[in-house]
Amino acid sequence: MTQYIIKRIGWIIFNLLVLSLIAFILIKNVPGSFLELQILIGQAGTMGTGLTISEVEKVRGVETEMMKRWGEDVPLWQQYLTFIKGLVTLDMGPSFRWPTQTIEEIIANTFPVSFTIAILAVTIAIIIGIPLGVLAALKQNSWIDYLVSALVMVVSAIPNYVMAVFVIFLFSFWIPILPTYGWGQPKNYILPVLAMSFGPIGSIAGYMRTSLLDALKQDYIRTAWAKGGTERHVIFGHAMKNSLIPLVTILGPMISHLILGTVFVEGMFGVPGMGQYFSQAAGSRDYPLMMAQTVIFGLILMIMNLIVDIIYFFLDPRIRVSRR
Amino acid sequence: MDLLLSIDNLNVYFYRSEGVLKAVDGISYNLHKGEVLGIVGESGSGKSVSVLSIVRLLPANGKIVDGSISFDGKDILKLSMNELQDIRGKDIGFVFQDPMSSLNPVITVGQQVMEPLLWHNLCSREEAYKRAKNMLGMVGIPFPEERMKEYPFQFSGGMRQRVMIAIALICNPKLLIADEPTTSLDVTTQAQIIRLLKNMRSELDMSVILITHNLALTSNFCDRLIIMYASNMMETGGTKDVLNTPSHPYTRFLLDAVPDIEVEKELVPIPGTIPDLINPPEGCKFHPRCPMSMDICRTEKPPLFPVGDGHYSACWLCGRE
Amino acid sequence: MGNKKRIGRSYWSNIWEKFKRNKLAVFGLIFVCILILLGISAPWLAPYPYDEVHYEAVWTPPCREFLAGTDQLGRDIFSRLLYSLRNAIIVGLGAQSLIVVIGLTLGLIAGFYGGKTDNILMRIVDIVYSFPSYLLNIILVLVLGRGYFSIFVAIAATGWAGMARLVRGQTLSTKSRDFVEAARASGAGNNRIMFRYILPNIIGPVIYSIFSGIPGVMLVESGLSLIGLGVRPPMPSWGLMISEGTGQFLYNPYMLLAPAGMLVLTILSFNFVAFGLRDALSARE
Ligand SMILES: Nc1ncnc2c1ncn2[C@@H]1O[C@H](COP(=O)(O)OP(=O)(O)OP(=O)(O)O)[C@@H](O)[C@H]1O
Ligand code: SF4
Ligand SMILES: [Mg+2]
Repeated sequence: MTQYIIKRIGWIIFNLLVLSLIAFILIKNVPGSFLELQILIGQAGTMGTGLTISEVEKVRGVETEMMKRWGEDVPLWQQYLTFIKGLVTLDMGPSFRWPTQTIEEIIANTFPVSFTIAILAVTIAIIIGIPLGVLAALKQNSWIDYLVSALVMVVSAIPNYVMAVFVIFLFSFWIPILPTYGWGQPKNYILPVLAMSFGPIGSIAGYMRTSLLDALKQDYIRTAWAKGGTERHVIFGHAMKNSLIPLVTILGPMISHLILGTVFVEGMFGVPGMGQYFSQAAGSRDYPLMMAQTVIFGLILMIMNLIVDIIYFFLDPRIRVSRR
Repeated sequence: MDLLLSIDNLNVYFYRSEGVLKAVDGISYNLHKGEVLGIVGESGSGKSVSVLSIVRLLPANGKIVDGSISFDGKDILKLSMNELQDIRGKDIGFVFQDPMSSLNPVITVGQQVMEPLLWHNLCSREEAYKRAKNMLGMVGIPFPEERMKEYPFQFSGGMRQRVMIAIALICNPKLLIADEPTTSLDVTTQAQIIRLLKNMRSELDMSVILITHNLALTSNFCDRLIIMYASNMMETGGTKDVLNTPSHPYTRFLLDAVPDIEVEKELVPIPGTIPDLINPPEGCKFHPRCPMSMDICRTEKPPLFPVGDGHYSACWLCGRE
Repeated sequence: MGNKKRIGRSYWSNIWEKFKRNKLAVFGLIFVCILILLGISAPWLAPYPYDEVHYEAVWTPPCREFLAGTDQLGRDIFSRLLYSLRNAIIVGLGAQSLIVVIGLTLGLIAGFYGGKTDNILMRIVDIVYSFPSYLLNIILVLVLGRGYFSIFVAIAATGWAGMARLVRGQTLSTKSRDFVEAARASGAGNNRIMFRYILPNIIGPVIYSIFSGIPGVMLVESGLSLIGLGVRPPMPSWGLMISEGTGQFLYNPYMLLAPAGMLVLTILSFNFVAFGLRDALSARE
């Protein structure tokens, strides 16, 4: 097992190098620069992402520093090495868009927020989705099953940014008890988590339904019935075990997607998470931040997959024992 | 001898999108205490369905449409779910065809062997553990205590089938149903398993229904035989009578396919194909493949004619006069 | 099944029979056809050009003149919906075609040749799988500029890996079947075997994967246009319309409900077809 994990970590490092190289090359080739864009916006007099003149000055200062840092006059491969060095030593320098913060600060501040929301949303989805899926499977072809299946389909077709609008509307008009915008208090978490949990509820319920139905068809379930098991014994003692184990494999990707796939939802609720920062970084061409975020997110994704595989390893005796 | 199981005119239908499939078409037989009954027939002849009906474990689309099953004085088809669960695993033990898929892959073997005892509240967990250990030893699993902690995939096919047998026998059942317990095993293991079943039968004093493709396996284990073809009983009688004086053309076919009864050998396929059970042939189900078929065979279904002491045959050749 | 040389008409008619029995799937298919027809004929069906402003009629609720109302510039939402649909279909089919071409070729090669080729290709697939695809989509659109082709490329750049993995698995299991051996024995070349013998036999799962992938692609596109990286305005897109409608939800809910409803409807239709296909393909006896 340790050997397996070490090997996997080796591949993660290799994959991250490839990812950072690709991100680096791509970002180096993006037309337009941060400063140009900001000056344009400033001239057009638009508000929003545009910076004030004094801020532009500050950015200019940062950019000259970045120039030194990235050394436009040194060859590309040296720039890449500088970038990798920054990543490894956690010294990535300031961001363009938020010149007073370093990139590592931004990530350290935003990641816990996104991560907490993702974990909460998945927890809720598990708590609601599993019983729903089990119910639908046990009452196959009854109205409950049809209701759950319809719910699963509709919910998985509604993007979470549309769901977020409904949630906001619901809670600002019909039940105005929760804050729909803002950050800082625990209750600010509730609505974003709610909005983001619908999709995962749908996929978990759907997955659970199929995998329980599949388990119930297996020969070993017939054996359990033949042994004189009651519904409690056979379904909860046997079939549930078999169908819950593969569920773990969809949770990892689900959490990683929630961490970043919720760019729009974070914006709507005013959540200062990674997603929102990334979309703003993209919108304002803040390349250093984008690059760092891409690599960090890749790292999160790969670590999630590794964790899932490790958990799966402990849950499924077939893998656990044969790898020992 | 006392009657243990009595099946009368059992009819089981499957409802499929192509139509209704008669998987068991009016079967009747009795099984006495301590008796070993062999059911033999080609694949798809309805052997499994007929015995699954005894514990009402048919697939969802299968239905017992007619007949009665009486086990140990109880009318199985009228029992409530609770009463039925009380019989399953405790009074009737089941060994299935495929030991690879019949054990739960994520539960330890020990737990799976103990479950029938625990589920029927027959004893405490400690007691169940001891009995499971003993039973695994009895069915020939070395180091039972260590192996109880392991998972099915760590066992070979033959060993898994021994585990299945241990599960079926752990509650000392009155009836053991073994549905082709050896089909997926190699020849030596097959013989070992049959020998094990024989020993366990005399040790635990129970009745056995053994389903098999292989006539050779029945000769020195079964007291009586039922030969099935296309959902119907073709011939039944004492094992010696059926094997030595077969009176049904189909049984003769089966015997020809096994040249030496002592040599264990799989059935050689018989010329022609098994009929489509959704649109079965009229009259005798065997007539399209029967070399002796007559006019009457094509139109009328032969009843079971007596041909000896407790020996019956469903063939017009045996009852024309 | 084992000896059948090439998948013939009976295979398809069999799948079609099973598919037809699933009412939701048939319903979905009818809807998909209608949506595609509507999308194609948007320029002729739309009552107004998508960018025609009517300052005298901003934020008109749905009425006879403007079937789905007008937006903040008085543009006809119904016409914009039709063009968004066209847009989504172009992106869905375009990006998916690119994914199929890349994924099918690489998957076939990896599965067919095996060995080192397979190892290297599958390692690449693993790497691409571990990428944060959404972020790369954004960066790629920034690099390539906004436009259909760059959106296709951006989505396909990460999306091909799943298709390649599927095709490789199918190819591996088909490769050892009798008719392939027979073809090889009779002297058929590698390319001929791959495209004439293996490909027709794996096409079923590939078609399922195409259908089930289209909704995902459409959602990515609408996500991109939501943060201003989709097709270039004033060309409408659901993402853009949804983001415009979001701020107006309390005052002019139709501005959000219309594009969101269309998006959900389209996705559902494709999903129904995909589910039906999956069942029809897996229920093969
Ligand atoms: N779930 C089912 N749905 C429809 N038909 C079924 C089902 N299970 C069994 N059958 C049909 O019932 C008939 C009898 O099946 P059964 O399993 O009893 O045969 P068998 O004699 O046990 O054969 P084998 O030796 O292959 O186990 C077969 O024709 C089979 O096709
Ligand atoms: S009844 Fe007729 S067809 Fe049937 S087995 Fe006897 S002779 Fe053959
Ligand atoms: Mg059987």
